Amino acid sequence: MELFSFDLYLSGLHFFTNPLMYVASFFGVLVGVVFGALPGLTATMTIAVFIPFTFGLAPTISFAFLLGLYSGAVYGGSISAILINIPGTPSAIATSLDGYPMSQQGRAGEAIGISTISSTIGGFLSVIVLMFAAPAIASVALKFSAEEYVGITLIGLSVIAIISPGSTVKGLISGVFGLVIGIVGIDPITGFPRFIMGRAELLEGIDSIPVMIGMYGLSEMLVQISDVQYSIVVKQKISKLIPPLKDLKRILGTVIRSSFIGVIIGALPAAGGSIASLVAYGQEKRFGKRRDELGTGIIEGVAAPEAANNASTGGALIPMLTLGIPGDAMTAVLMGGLIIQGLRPGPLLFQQQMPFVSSIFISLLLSVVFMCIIGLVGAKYFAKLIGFPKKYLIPAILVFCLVGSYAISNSIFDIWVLIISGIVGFVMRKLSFPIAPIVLGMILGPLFESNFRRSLMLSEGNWATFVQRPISLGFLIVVVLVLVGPMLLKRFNKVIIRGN
Amino acid sequence: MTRKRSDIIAGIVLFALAGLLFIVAGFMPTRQGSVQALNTGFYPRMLAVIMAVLSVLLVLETVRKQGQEARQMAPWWKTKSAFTMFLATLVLLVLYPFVMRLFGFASASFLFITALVWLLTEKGQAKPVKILGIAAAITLVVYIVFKLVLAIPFPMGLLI
Repeated sequence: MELFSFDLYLSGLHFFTNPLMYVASFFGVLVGVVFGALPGLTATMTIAVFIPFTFGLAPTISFAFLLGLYSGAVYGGSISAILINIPGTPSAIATSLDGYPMSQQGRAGEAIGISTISSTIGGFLSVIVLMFAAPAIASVALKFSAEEYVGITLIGLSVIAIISPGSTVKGLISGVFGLVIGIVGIDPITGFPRFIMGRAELLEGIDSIPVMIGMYGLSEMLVQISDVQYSIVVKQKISKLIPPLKDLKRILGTVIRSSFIGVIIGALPAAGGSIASLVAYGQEKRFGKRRDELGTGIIEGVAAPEAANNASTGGALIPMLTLGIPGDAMTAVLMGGLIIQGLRPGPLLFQQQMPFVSSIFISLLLSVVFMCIIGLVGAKYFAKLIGFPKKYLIPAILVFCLVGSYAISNSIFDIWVLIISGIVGFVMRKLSFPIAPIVLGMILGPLFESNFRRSLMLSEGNWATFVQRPISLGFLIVVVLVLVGPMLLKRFNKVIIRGN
Repeated sequence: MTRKRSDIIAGIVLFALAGLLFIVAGFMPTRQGSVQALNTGFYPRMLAVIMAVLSVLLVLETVRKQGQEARQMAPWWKTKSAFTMFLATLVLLVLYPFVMRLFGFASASFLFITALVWLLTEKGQAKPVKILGIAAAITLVVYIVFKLVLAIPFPMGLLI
């Protein structure tokens, strides 16, 4: 199959004669930046809450909007990290390390400008890598059979369990819990309805979108309500947004290095923007020219994490689009947006929906351009929004969650799914069980089950089929390494320390 | 309650749920003599076993952390009033679908926002006109987006 033809890049161009594509992308970025900048509204939640808006639109327009949200929200998190030392979204944690000191020195505008430019370059490079890497991986993935998909799914679930903060066992439990949610509905092989409790709505399984809105939107709002209210005042004046040429020259190396780190880490199954930005900051601390000044408020400290987290956006789309295995929670939610459009991500998407895939590349590129413009022009106004009172924000978001869940399939039943998931998500957060593995498990569950059982059926019940195929065996070894590796490493370090 | 105890309780509850899943899956139809994976209950049972193992691991892990973590778990709510607000929000959420069916989604949204903003506003600072105005504005946005732009068919209520 010819996946490396220029068609992949050009066949989607004709969608962009429709001005709605630009409108959708622009509004996506705008809303994404605003929500990303508001503390407590994460990028994942933003995408989940807005998916119902896209469902009536054509897939290309819907994705122009969603990818805009994605880029915008990941970038927007840096604005509040810089101004008030609270990252608007988890991937901006590292940005506050130098961004906030800069802001305290009265250089908030400069920091936001550097963040905008670095995010733009990072985002731009990641689209380029995505455009070349994705078809290559897709053409390899075409040769995968059911056994390999079982292996990849297990890699995704184990990586996300490992990198989720806190106990790995809790991460794994969350993942299995997600798989259990995926059982509900008609058995894909025998056609027998499972756990539907007499509800016709459940025959096709629990709809993943209301569950995601509940786990990320509703439960987060419940957490904030049960917390003490705080009001935020932004005092800093924002000026000198457009960085001088000498500053750009100074950060160029950092930005390019960090972008590549971002793309690569983003592309690993389940490791997303937060990790990418921390690693990029870490390597700047180790190898950067001004590593001794890091943390005191220098532009490299803002450039490194911001280039990396926006670079991870394109990277994280690689496994989602090519294998159907999301790179992190954000792409898991994006994948939910694809599925409600009736599109199944995976190598076949590249074969059968080439114009659509092409439009995804172009949309992502477009969103990077809008992000740069909106960031440089609008930063002053977003800074004012950070102080928007929570007492109005929380009810507004909750109503969007409620109405949005209903709107997906015009069913009140989905509102109940939303409320129950919200409460379950709240309890799990409070018991420090991570949420991301649940969402990943739920999305991957049905695919995992049918591949798993199909492999066993074809091998007539012989479990050895998973280790007899070399690629599948390789994937399973990776799973074991991911799960056991960190433990062994710890032991090993202890032994060395004792030996010394 | 300490974090340790809450983790042990979570482990026990998860183990019980896994057991329940295992038992229920046993009632699903099976075919004699064919590959096990064909049976409907096979996959749920497998997940139940994995879940049970993981919940035992969670309890073991928690017990082994002895001594280092007897710290008090932060309560779920910072103050008593925050807890009341949390409960009130839950009640409002549960009421929403009923009110929506009775009066229509715009009225339900308006009532929901008004009630919640009023709850979240500090006592003595509430200005009814401002609250109603903001609730009306948010409702209008929701109405325009979902009813006019997306043309979602909402249940016909007594009002809108």
